[in-house]
Amino acid sequence: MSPRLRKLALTAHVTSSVGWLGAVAGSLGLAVAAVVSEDIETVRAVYVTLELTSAYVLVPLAFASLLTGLIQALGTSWGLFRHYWVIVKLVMNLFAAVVLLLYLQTLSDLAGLASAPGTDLDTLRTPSPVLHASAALLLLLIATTLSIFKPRGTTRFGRQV
Amino acid sequence: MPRWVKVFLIVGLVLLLILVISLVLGVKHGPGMHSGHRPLVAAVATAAQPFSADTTGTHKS
Repeated sequence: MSPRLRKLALTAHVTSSVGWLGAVAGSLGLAVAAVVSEDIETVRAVYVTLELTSAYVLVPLAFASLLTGLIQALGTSWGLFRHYWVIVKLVMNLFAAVVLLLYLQTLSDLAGLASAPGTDLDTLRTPSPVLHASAALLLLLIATTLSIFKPRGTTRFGRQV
Repeated sequence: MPRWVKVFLIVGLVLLLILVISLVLGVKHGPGMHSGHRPLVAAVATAAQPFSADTTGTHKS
């Protein structure tokens, strides 16, 4: 890749990855509001919002981060399997994306329940989104830290180059 | 292999082990298991009861 293209790819990767992290932080805030709020309308609104933001913000950002990360790794001298930190980040990114896709069903169920008239607050309230968003936030913070510090360690493939 | 990679591997394996053990022990987890500790279908059916009772079309708003 030319230097200009490499910078463009890096910008896209940082933007999508940090955007994903920010969106997860926002989701965590909403999920906490649903657990602590005594106002049922607020709790209903949170679950409907969480479903929409997950499907239309979190998922696109997660896959944009994955795709731009792959381009960044394969298009530069870092490679995909040459450095341990790149492999660890790839595994974490894939894991988070798969869990997010699986969790969409739960969020859809919760949004459906929140939309159903007559659902009481105790039925609706669940700590699950708080736990999942917290875990995702921790994972993405670790990934960001790895990207910045780039800890040493080359694999067999890295040493051959 | 650097020490930090070994730490990451151990933490990952421990988490995987916890997940496998919880699945083997039958701990409920996953889609549809997070609503008030009862199946979502039942919860939705309960929530929709006031409306499903009105099937005769006699209710007018």
